Amino acid sequence: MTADSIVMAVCVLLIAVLFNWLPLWRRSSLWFAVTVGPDFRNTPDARRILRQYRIEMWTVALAAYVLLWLGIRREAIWMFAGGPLLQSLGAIVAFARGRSRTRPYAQHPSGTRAASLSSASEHLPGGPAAIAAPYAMLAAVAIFLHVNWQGLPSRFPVHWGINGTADRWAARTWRSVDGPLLAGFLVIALLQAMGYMIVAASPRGRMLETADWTARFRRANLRMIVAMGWALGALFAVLALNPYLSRGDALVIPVWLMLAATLAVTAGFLWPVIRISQEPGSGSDGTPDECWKLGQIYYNPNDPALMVEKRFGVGYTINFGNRASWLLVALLLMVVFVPMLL
Amino acid sequence: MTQAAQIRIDLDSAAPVTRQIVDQLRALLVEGEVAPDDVLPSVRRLAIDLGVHFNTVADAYRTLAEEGWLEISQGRGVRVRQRPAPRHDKESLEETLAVFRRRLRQLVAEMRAQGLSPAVVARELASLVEAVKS
Repeated sequence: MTADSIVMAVCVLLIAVLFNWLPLWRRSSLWFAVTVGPDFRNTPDARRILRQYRIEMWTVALAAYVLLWLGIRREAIWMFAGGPLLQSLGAIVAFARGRSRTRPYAQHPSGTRAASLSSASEHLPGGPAAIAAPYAMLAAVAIFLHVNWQGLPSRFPVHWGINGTADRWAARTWRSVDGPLLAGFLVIALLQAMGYMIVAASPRGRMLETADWTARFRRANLRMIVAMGWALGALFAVLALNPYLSRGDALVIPVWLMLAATLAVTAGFLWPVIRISQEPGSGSDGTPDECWKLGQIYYNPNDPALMVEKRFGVGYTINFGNRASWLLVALLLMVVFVPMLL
Repeated sequence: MTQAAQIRIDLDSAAPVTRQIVDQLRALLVEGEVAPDDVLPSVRRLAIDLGVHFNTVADAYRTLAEEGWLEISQGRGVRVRQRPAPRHDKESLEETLAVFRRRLRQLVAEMRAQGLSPAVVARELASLVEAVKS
């Protein structure tokens, strides 16, 4: 068994554990993306639906392990990588089935909406300094690398396997040296753009009785976005510095440590979001059930919000009924493909 | 503006949302909950918070601007104006009061139709009268 397969097996397990708990990290009046009574989640019917979802989800996780094992035996990379993909698709289907089972218990969501008349503007936590910090980090590294250009090896690795072994090399050009910094810049910019969209184009609290909960949930999500920006800034800065520091094929900081550090920062800021999600009395989110396709994709052309709270998973998602959403999707694709082209 | 000032609408109500926003905002303006020079949320912000179309909120703000309560300016948002009470001559006063009486009668009939006793309706109206006096 190679180090790659061990890492992949751990990934499948972590994804399964995440999917196991994901349906619970939502408002108290939502169950599998359906509006229900506030106490429904404590009923035997709710527990049965959750149990059935978990059985289906873990069965798919098992199938992902089989695929992984076959991939190792036959040395078929597509089988190897297909495990987590199959697992994610399986969890989405299991969730949609859970939603169908919950529908008979649906309650008509209240048509009452409330909005504060305060015009006070909201900002990302930490202010401009916190927003600029990751870019400053990347810019400092770029300046350092260009000042020390001759100190960089003429050829160095630019890609590593999960076990940290170099598998692709490049000559010393601005693309290979600045590529990780540019990729980092795009990823952080996209993340922060999502943060701004939450601030500017998501409801501050449509239901009067849960306005306080919504405000805290929003704040915790925005703090997580800012923190992830810092973590990603540090990660890409270290990657860009690697040729200068390592002078060989090895990574100065092992992959597992980089991933663990990023995950630790994310988890540290994710935990308050999850804790808030667990609080009773958080009600519903003021979006119509019928606009949630498969319980996960929000499509409501009558809702001017661009971002709304997710009904499966933590955080916010896009309202695909809003034309501006396609601009966001285009930005996302750009972030994925521009680094590939470089 | 008081911290608690807010708009509440009912999407299931037969009354149009624009009308609900206008009526509530006007009540807040008359009662002083929202004072002159206060800045209201932008059309976009209020529409997103309430989950209604931008035009619905824009129409409500426009109606109140025409009544002289609000000043809508590009870039500076929606500001509450100092509005002098309109003066009435005898004829227009009678006309206004006739409209007011008709609406009040309709409202009382609606309350009775919903099963509220005359005593309860009278008590509510009396408390309203007291609030107006104070």
